[in-house]
Amino acid sequence: MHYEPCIEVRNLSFSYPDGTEALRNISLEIGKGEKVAIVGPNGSGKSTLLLHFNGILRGKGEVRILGKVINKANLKEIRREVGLVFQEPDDQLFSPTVFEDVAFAPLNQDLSAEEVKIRVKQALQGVGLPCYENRSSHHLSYGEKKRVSIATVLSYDPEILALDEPTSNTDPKNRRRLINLLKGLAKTIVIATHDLDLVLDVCPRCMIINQGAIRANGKTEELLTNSHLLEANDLELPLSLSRLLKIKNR
Amino acid sequence: MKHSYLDRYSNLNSPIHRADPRLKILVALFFVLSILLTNSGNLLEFALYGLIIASLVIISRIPPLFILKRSLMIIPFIVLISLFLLFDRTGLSAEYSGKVLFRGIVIKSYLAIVMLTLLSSTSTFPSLLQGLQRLKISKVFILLLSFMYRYIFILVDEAMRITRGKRSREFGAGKWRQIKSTASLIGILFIRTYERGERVYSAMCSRGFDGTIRTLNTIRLRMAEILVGFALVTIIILVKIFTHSHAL
Repeated sequence: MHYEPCIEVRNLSFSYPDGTEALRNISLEIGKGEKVAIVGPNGSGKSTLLLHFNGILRGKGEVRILGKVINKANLKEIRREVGLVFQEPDDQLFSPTVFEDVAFAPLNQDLSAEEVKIRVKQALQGVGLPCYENRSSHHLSYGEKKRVSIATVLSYDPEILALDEPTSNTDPKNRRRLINLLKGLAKTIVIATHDLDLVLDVCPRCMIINQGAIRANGKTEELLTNSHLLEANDLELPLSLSRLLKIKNR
Repeated sequence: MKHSYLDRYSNLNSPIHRADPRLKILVALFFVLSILLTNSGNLLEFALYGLIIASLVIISRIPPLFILKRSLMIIPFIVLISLFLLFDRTGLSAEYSGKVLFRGIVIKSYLAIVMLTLLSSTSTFPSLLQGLQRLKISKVFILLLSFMYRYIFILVDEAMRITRGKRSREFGAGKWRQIKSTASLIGILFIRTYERGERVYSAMCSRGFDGTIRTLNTIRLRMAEILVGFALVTIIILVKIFTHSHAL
């Protein structure tokens, strides 16, 4: 597959109204079909960066999605291509029933009733929760909520998936399910996380971000095995690797 | 934390559960209205209404004890509000004493509440919302209700967590200090709710929300249901006519 830029960010800076500098002069490029992780400690600016990919936040600088610069006029078009999943499923799921939540975006695109139903069914099947349509969101388990959250964007088939901490607070079984789900999706995927084992599993490339700036960008295997680099950015070796090293050094 | 359902028993399978929510809303509304328009002294009419409601409860297969418990919750409020009628000496109405009026108000509100409890326990909350929407109630109002249904327990959970955190650290503090920290607790709850609202709105915008609310219609009115609803309304009207001609 030949390389085609999907997300391009040039010199992006952003400060919150209270003056906190969340992003400092960030430039990056992500190609179509790539799976990239944005890794960093708490408060490093990962989530803020994700919110720029579909124009919820707009800082100084340029963000291009599929070649188009985000501006007020094309927000709708951009959001059609970027499926953003929030970290907290209770923010992502705001409707009384699962069906209404998963159908929310397709309905906003004025698809036909039949088409919407098919989309919802497929999306729920995709996350391994078929027949969950009539459940109410507040009776789901946390792991189920996380998966329904992903279904709410799968239902409108965006080119890009931007996920904020998809595995946070999930038990091992649900975490594994989510990882397998993300691995299997043929889409451009950006994951903001500090679950480094997830990154090793899913994303061939990763970026390390700290205090609002990109500190490293490259192959996951190289960056996440570099304990100096990780520790300098308030991270540590992925659990799986640090265990391996311990055994080796015995 | 797990909470009791707001619409418990709404997933049972009975003719009333299956009926179109629009029909249920309209019939319930009509019933409540005719209860309210009853003369306070007309005990026969109240009794007949009670009979109708009781048979509806039986048809709905909802445990009567549940309906009883839920509906009793409203009684203290009603009694509190209408208590002054008992001590009325000036005569609010030419026909009835304060005692009769008091009794009338309590019976009316109780019957109305039982009716509404029945309505909310025989329909899931989302289907009631859809019914209201099809009855052309303002969409903003429906959205408000749907957010309430979705977030009320999350808010309760949040309040509970904050209170726990406070309790586990406030040992030794004086009463006044405890009260003061409760005030800031309420403030924090407000700010968190406000911030959640912003995040939810972002999530809506991310999925293409542009200010108009679109929903899918999944309810369909069946002829048989219309007939049953019509019959019920007729019965209520007949009760009214009958008791008026046999006024005690």
